[in-house]
Amino acid sequence: MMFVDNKEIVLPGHLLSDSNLTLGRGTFREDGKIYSNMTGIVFLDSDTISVIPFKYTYKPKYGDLIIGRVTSSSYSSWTININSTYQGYLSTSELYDKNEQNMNQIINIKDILLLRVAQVDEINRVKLTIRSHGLGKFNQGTIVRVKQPTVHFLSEENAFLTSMIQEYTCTDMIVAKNGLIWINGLKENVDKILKIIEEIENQPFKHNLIKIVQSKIMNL
Amino acid sequence: MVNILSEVSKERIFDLLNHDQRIDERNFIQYRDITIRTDYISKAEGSAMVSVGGTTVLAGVKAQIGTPFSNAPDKGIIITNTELLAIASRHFEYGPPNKFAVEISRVVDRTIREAPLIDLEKLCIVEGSKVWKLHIDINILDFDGNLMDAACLAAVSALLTTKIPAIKFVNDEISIDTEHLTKLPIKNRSVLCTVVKINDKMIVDPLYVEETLMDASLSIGFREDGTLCAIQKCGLNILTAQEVMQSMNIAFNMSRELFSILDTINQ
Amino acid sequence: MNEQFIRKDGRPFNSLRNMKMEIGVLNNADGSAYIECGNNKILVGVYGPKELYSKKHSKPDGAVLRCKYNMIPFSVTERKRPGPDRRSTEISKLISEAITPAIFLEKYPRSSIDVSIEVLEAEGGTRCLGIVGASLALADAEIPMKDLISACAVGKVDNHIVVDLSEEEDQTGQADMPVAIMPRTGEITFLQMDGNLSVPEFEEAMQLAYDGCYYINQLQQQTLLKKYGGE
Repeated sequence: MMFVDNKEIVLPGHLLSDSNLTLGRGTFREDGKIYSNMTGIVFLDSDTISVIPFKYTYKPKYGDLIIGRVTSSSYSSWTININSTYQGYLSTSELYDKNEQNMNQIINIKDILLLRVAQVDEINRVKLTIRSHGLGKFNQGTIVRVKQPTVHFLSEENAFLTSMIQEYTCTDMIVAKNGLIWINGLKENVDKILKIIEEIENQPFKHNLIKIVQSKIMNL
Repeated sequence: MVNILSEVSKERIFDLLNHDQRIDERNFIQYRDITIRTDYISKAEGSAMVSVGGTTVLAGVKAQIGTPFSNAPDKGIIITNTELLAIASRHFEYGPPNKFAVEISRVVDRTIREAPLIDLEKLCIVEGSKVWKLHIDINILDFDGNLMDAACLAAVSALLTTKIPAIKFVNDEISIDTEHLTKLPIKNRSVLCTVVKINDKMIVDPLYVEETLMDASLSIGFREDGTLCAIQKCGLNILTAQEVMQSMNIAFNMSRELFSILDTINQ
Repeated sequence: MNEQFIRKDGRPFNSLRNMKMEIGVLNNADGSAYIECGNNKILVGVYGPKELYSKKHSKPDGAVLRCKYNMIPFSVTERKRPGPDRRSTEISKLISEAITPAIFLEKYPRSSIDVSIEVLEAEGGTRCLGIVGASLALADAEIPMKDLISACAVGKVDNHIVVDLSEEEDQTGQADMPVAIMPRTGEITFLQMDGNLSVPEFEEAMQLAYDGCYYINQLQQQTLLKKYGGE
């Protein structure tokens, strides 16, 4: 049985359900019942129940697409700031087979990279990978930092909106799970998209937000 | 959770400054909104919570009777102390006041002492043995740049609203009459105004991000008649003589604004 | 009887002082809370969880919770020297232990969570308000928790069991007993007593403490909902 509605605001310790659902983020099970462990919005997707936090909190998860900035390097790895409690590590062996002489010519400190989470171990060491289609280094574009509900809105619930924005404005846009969005295109288009993102950011759970955003995109 | 965009905003700040703009759309010689709330802490003889934009400072005055220093037996004592509370910034830590906190205490102390804001001789009760001792405690609650000006404004506001008990002599014994409170003997009001040099531009009231990029700063204490009572140059870089004069001009104009804000508090 | 007893400040035995709670009051902290209760003013800031690089201070199986309770010099009648003393060190330890059971520390190995409680003005009952504020600030920082911890003090004044002792009652009363609970399960996370109580009096006081905590828990929930569910 469910004790809350989808999209209801819940607080730490709020009873969500006593059904046999899969636990998503922001939830815990005690004596067979599922509770929320933070303040957020209930999100029910088939048989997974989660609570989406209101702010920036990002916890790395296997497979997440993320944007990170290189903060230091050593012989074996680069340290990457991934807008989370924990730093990420990108092993230098990732690039061996590309047959480059000097690793520093490929990746430097302060570079901004598009990466995927390859592994999170039991003590939350985050291993990242760059060896996959489409991943790499950003050479241009703007990056904005958004809250988790915006990420959720643009990537999980309504991923089509991102492709729609790209189509209508001929702008490239990547929504990374760690709360960063990369946009590249004509300056005026980028500014318009930033306005739309700001609107989502301000009221991510507004009724009919999808339709409002959709019509805004079409009028760009 | 470090802002991944800090590098980008550095370029942006410089770029804007070259176009005579600032990141929060202020002009170069404009303070953020200043609010002063006095008599906030009832346990203190005087208190003021001052917000300058995102910087919040709480200053309080505690009055005690103490023994005067032997080199000034007829003068009251003021002691200024600053604490950078750990809630204010992730860069502040618990422990004894560090060099930044001590510098703030000392500059604020000079601005108050040299004005002089308070007629210390009138704080003498019995020459050589009993004087009022005022502890001015400055606590930084929230930090977004320009601590020096905010701290001084808070300390001055707290002193201007401080009320100390009257002293009665009963059979040559001192007794404190908490029923009758009197204001401190105010002589000259003073304020502190800091001008910051960043990328060869002179600005006032820097944000934290602007402060991290500054070359040097000049904090100038003014009395109400426009004369100087304290100067402190901070920062790792140089100021030319011309820049110093320019700062002096800017700071003087700003100090008039700060005095008019002080006029609005209930004294 | 207790029902007719009117306290010095005009409250009946089971009434708390006026309370005001706010969250998200600080710009830099990951979570923050401000509480006023009578003349008590308490500001709490939470930083973290942040990764600790020193192996000496970090734990591989969970976050390290570091609590600091601090009174600013002019918060009390007689000026308090800045810096820690025996009392604030003890209270820091107890508050830390009071909120630990509610936090999923194991979710953040090798990290630290820093909770700073600043007492701007004290008028009796600051340790309980510190716990209430810390719990709100942790919720504001979105640190995973089992429940919001609530706390309030009960005591014995003029032979009556009363809730939320004022400074005067605390000093002149016969007993003072701060209690913190996890409201959902009713489990006790913090309990102190000084003074004299008989066992039946203790039971009565405990019941009154529970009522007070449930009431404060309602206020905590309203504060969080007001912040996020403003629409």
